Amino acid sequence: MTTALIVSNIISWLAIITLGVMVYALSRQIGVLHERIKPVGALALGKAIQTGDTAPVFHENSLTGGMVRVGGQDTSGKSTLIFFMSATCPVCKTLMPALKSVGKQESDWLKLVFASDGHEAEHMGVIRQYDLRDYPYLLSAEVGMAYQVSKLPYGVLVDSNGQVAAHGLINNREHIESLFEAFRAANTGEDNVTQLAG
Amino acid sequence: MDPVFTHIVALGQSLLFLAAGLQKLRLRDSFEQVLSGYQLLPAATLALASRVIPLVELALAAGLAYPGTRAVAAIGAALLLCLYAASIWINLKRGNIGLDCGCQLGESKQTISYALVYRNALLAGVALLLIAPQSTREVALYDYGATGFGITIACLLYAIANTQMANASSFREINR
Repeated sequence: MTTALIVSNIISWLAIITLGVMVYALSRQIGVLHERIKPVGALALGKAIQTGDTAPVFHENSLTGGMVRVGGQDTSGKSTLIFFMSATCPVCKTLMPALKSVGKQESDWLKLVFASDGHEAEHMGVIRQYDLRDYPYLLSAEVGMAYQVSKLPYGVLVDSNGQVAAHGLINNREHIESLFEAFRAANTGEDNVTQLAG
Repeated sequence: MDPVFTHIVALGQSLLFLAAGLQKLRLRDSFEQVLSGYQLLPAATLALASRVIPLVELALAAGLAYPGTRAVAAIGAALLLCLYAASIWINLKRGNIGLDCGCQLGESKQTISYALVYRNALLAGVALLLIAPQSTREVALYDYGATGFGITIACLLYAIANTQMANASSFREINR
């Protein structure tokens, strides 16, 4: 009798473990589905600045020295990517290396500007840590408000005519590139939607 | 408490801390980033803390595995788990709900939630079971089987609960 109980018990163990493995696999699949249905490219949020709008113009002191201008006609014919971030957001920091490399790669047509608000000392720390001395870095709550930034990190791409070419929430390198894709698509008149989704 | 339960709890928690400690050591930079996100430690101590915490976890894992040090390690484990729960709770109270909990270092981001506070509190409670007086029942072969089963199912349930919490978090992200 005892042996029979032991055997039946072992069978139930095996059944329970198998079921557990299956439930685990199912919940992993749900996670994968969530990843898949996340919006493609940078997510543009409800009430935000619109593509094609004239970008608000600001002249501000840069933390890295000199003045920085965002918006308005650019005499050098370059576009500007304004990266709105905060000194305390981890995602913003993980994006720094990607942003710097994109800034270098696309430097023939793009200027990279960092924008934030808060305490100067905190931001000086960020500039030192990620070696951002070569980039304009402005500290102003007004700029963020004028560009209607509600989530961070947020990118706004302003073309050389001072118009908003693309904008959106940025969480990874692909999101940065999707802003450029949108910009190029608008400039060449091509429909790049399929390329974006791919 | 019966030796089978003791072993399941002790070895289960030991595995938990072993995995957690190794992961934090391997992805020390991400862990430091997560720590700074919690905004509880002064910036100057972050680098040190990101090295010390994984070592503490590994020490607890070893302490829980050996019967001699089990009770002391259990108290340490419960304290550490409560500390984590409190850190998450404080940040939820601060309204810092978009904070990455650091549950999946290096992988996708999972935001903090009350479920994580309850999970850690529950794990701390389970660890404290190890302080209870142990029975001296003789352990036979069948008990080893039961212990093995118990540990397997505990790990599975923990993994399931964690993926469900991660799913709830990613669902909130999509649905906002």
